[in-house]
Amino acid sequence: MKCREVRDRLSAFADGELEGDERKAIASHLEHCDSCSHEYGELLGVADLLSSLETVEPPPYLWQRVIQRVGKPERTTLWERVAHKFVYAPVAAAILIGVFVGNHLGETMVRTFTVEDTETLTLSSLDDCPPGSFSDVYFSAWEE
Amino acid sequence: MRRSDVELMADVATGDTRAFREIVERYQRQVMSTVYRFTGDYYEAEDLTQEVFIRVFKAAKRYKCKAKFKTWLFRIVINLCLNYRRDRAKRRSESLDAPVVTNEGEVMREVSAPDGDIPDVALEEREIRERVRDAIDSLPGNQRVAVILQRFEEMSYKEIADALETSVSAVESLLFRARRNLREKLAPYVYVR
Repeated sequence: MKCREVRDRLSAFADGELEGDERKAIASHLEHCDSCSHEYGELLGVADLLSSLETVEPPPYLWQRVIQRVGKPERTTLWERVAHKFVYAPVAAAILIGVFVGNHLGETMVRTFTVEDTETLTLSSLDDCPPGSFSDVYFSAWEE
Repeated sequence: MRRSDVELMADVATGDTRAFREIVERYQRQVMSTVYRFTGDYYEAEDLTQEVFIRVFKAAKRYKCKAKFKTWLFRIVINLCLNYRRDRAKRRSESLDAPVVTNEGEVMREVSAPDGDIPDVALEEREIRERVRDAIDSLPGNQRVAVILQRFEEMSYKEIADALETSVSAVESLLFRARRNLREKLAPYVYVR
């Protein structure tokens, strides 16, 4: 192949658009022709420079903006609507369970406390020296 | 199971916004990046990307499944980008001192150094990107489209030809000329491999 023919197809060669004999012929030509090989190197150099351009991420709200501008309400399934409506249901259930369990525990504790109170809080417990106390034992010893 | 673009578009044509949402989420990144390479301005790119998808929704009934959806989509992208370019050329009275908004925030416009006048110190990556963007920006519309679709969207010549509604040999010629122009403009920065 002549240099001019090769150069005309270098872009397609670099982009992997050529196949078969033509590709082989150009590859072989580049191995032996410094001038075409240099041009090919420049082409790849330009491609490298283009790669330096960054990609951008679309904003997270893009869909919302698009659907607003389309002016059509978003269609959702029945399940999505129910799920959306009751999005706080698990939280509400947790609170209810918490109140119920807390109430139950509270009642149990009060009941236990009350039983203990009836056992210990007799009128004698209000004496200066309740029976069984250290002072009761001390004064009883004196009296004897 | 992942539904094909064609299946989704059939539903979009009936006004199904869930199918439309899937299409938007599937392609928004590619569309936004391509448009950004055209505009170089994040907010302009965002606005144009929204416009692309609005057109997709409105034109969904006209989409024929014979054409690959991506090709059809990029035809819309290209038309909008080329129109944007024409509009911008008309209102090119903006001040050179005005900052440019990129996804890295606002940066000041820099006037390119004359050809061959490279500072001794290595140029910062951002400066190089600016020069590359300027070089792409200076290409004629179709050359620019061809370069962006080939290089960044990795489309084949056939796909680009379909998107531009032209022949494969015309695309090859466009890319050949585009690269020759870019090589001239970016000569001081090209590292020959």
